[in-house]
Amino acid sequence: MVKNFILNYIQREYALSENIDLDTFNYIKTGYVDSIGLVQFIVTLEEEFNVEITDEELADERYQILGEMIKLIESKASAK
Amino acid sequence: MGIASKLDTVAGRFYKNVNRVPDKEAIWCDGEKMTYRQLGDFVSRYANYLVSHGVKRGDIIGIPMNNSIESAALIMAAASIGAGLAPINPTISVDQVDTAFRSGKAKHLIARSAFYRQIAGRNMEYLNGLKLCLDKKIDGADSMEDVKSQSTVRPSLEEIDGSETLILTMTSGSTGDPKPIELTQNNKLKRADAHVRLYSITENDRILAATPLYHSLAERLVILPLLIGATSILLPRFTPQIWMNCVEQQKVTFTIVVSAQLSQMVQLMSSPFAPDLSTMRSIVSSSALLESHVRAELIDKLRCDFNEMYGTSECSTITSINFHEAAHKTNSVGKPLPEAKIRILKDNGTETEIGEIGEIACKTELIFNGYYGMPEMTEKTFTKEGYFKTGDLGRVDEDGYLYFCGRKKEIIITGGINVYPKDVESAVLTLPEVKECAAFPYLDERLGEIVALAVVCKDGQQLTKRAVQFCCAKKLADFQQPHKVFFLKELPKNAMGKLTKNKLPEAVAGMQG
Repeated sequence: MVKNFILNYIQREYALSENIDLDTFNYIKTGYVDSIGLVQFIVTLEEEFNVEITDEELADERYQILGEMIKLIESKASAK
Repeated sequence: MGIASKLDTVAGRFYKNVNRVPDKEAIWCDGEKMTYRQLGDFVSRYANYLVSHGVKRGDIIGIPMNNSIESAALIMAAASIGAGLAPINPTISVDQVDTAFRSGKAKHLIARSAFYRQIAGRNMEYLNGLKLCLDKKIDGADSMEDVKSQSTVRPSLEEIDGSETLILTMTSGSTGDPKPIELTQNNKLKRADAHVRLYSITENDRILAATPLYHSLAERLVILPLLIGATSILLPRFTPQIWMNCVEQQKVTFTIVVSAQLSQMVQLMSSPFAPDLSTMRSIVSSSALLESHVRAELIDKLRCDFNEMYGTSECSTITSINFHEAAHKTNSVGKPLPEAKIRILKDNGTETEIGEIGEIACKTELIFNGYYGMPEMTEKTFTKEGYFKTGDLGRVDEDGYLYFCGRKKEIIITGGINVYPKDVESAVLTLPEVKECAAFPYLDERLGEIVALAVVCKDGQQLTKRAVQFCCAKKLADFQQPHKVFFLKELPKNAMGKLTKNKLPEAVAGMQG
């Protein structure tokens, strides 16, 4: 559910290629979420899954990888 | 191929190039490209599809627009049949979509499947025309297969004369009273030709558009090359690295950027690993004033012509300056274009003295066609002599150079996009805990300004920053999101009880937000 939600969100304007590797795809460096869109992206995830993403996690480049962000949200959501 | 419209229309000039340079690269976007012949065929198919599915001259098509060859082709297809587009930001809320499309009197809809999902169940009865889904086959809408199956013969239609609405630029997704800026085909042609002259653009140029196509800047940068037989390079997404790689790989020669993009790139330009930008012969900065230290760095680093322009969507470019030619005027935004005249007005409407600060007003051949369906509102924004009141403050020196001195109008410019504080405030005021609030610009290195919010809660009530942001994420577009939220006991007001927004930065100084 988390994965589908995030994938749908990221693809609002542009489709991802079919053979995308979630473990390496950087949604920030590829511009799928930019400086303008980052606040809404993070806040939407927090609200949808009732989780909180800390400033440290936001600054951690690991979570710019789509697969890592999905895992992060999944683990926070299941801890509730 | 039948030629149904006069040659000196947007589509007429495009098709002239299709005939003249059919094998030349017309457009590149994200690894895909088309020659003029291929793009011409696609445009014809798209136009035939639109006509055969009920789109008539004068109709408006609503479209959450991304940067793609399909979007560029749609602009040309609409032009060729005299229809207009109301392009909107795909990230805006359903309420904002509804308001935007109603104000633009949109009848038809072209969108991706995610958008159709978003508006499902919403009564938008005015969208009773064509529905096209760009990326999937869905119930209740045609698919791109229906476009691709059409004939490549250009539709034969009643004469298009250039007076037709081509683009309605929605004023940044306003929830209150949007003022759709109407640009006809003739407006777009005049503006394109003026910029060709101003920046000596030729058919040999490869012109980069790296801002969203739902704003007029990218529309200009995509339409212009197709009118003169040049090549359009269209970037779907922006990061400094992506932009610079694109310039190197696509051998871009000319572009107009928003100043926030340059601010983000200036550091990367100094890196020994920076991509090669040597094909660039001219860059123009626009939308908000460059910070003076960024401007100075760029003047030093850039080997190409480096210009800054000042203008508004209503007036197009009003002034421009080439920093290498006018080195002694680097704090100015330049002199008026040949098509434009400016006046600086006092509050009482009379002209100021040379050097005195007042409101910048402009009379120009590049003026828009008005706020769509709002003649009284349009008239209010002009002086009796036909000068458009920009809402910006400036002064002119003895040599005729304009200096931007701030804004009279209430606006935040974030990443080159206008945010109307009232839109953000209206959304936040729906929270029952909020007594009053004020959105204001907050300086940011990357984006120039970000949206900041000062909130006063009702007695005994409390709110968190997250709660405010959750509300905004649902109701507002991406660029309207507040990055900073400050909770105050009261908003700064003058002796008459009127909010003094310019005191807000001081009121929140030292606070976390």
